[in-house]
Amino acid sequence: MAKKNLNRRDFLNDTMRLTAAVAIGGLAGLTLRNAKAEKTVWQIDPFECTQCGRCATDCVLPISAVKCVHAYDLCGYCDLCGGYFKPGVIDLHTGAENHLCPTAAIERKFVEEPYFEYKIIDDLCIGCGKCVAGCTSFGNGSLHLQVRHDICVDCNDCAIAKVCPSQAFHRVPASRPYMIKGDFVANENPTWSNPA
Amino acid sequence: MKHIKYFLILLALIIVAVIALNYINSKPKKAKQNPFEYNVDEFKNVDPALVHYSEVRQIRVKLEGKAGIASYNGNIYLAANSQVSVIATDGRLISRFNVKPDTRAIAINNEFIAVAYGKNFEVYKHSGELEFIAQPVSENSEFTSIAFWNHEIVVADAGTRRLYVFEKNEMVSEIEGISGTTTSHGFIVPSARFDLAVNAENELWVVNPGIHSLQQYTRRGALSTSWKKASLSIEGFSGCCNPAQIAMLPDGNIVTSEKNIPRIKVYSPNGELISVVAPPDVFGNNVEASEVATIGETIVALDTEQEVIRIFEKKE
Repeated sequence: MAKKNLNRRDFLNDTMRLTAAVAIGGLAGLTLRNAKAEKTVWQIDPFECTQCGRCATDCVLPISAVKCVHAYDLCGYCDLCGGYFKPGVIDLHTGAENHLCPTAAIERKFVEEPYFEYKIIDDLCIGCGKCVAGCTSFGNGSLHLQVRHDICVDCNDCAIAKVCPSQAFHRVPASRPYMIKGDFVANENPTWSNPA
Repeated sequence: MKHIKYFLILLALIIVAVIALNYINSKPKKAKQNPFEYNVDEFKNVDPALVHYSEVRQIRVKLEGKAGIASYNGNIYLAANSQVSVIATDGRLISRFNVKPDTRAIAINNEFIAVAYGKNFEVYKHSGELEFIAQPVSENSEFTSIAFWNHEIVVADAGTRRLYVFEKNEMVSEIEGISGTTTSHGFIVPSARFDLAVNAENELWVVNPGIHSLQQYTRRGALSTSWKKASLSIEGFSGCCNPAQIAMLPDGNIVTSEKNIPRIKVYSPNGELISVVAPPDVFGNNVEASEVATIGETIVALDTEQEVIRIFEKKE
């Protein structure tokens, strides 16, 4: 068979066709992979959170989608709760002057001597993490911050994750969207990982 | 036309400037002042006039898992890594013998060495020969402390929130911390920190950590005296489980060791703060309480996070 001479125009045409085929194939492959991959959402690893306050100030929502949650099974139900009371309180009562929380979003309820239960009022919590700092410093660390997915608008490029100084934000599978303390141990949960 | 061109260039410059400014400001290290900051550093500052001890020596130890420390005859007894090691205060290893893994606490008298594990304890002769193994009392047991009390042995069990008194290997009585008064509600133990100690007068002191109280009990389990100090300041104890560890000084004063904001202090038997042995800055970023023991007026602390035995002596 006679060998066909390849001129410059044919060469460019072939190259362009090949490039287009590879691009379309790659795009189709990526689309298929994304379609098959499980949806992920943002979540805070409570063991990495440093309560910097940016969850309250940097969320795109007017009131942050990050809220304090309470792992009751870790709580000591203390009378003197470091997450509830301001330092230096004279009497341990629920008066506004005693609240550490800037929005009074924690409800203290007497259970039985000497136990008190602390409940977060979601509508008031702004996710500042002040109570988390108090609970972590003085108590068992049962109060911690989480992205609430019933409120979060799931920005692809989370405004808080971008500025989080401890890089505590991770993409987690949407089927297991929370990292509640007590339910998981840091670095031992194989189902989530930090995107590269 | 020329004006439009200038306007578009200006607009482009403004857009670039806004994007650049936003990029720079959103860098994590360019963090704004936290308007909600809760600075707990103020609780770490201690008036130097209160600190009557200084750290005179550190003995490096290798720890795998939990450990207990006690003293006898001027030496330190360390139960760790499936061994009991007898260490002089200058760091020399005097002797060592093997025990089971998972040692939690240790106590010594002139005849025996008692080593507590999670659910039972063993008693050895000073030569390292096993004397007896105690019967377990509950599947939920989490032994956290042990002491010789007259001719008996008392253990603190954080799992069942009780003290158990053993005569040899048999449990003969238990103390629930309920003395029939309206204010007494038993031991409140939110986590596995539940310590006890017997002083030179053979009086048993127990920490009731959930209410930041130190309580003294009779052999019949009656509360004979107690005091409590709940406060975020240096004078008291805070959090859910403090003081986490105690030891007795020869004069009856009580050495306390706290977790979270770790510090070691000395209180009188009626709860008056006498001195600070080690302020939080001694322990760096530690959060765990050091287990404490005393050799005369000297205070020995086992820092399990830094893997070091710290020795504190009273300042001149």
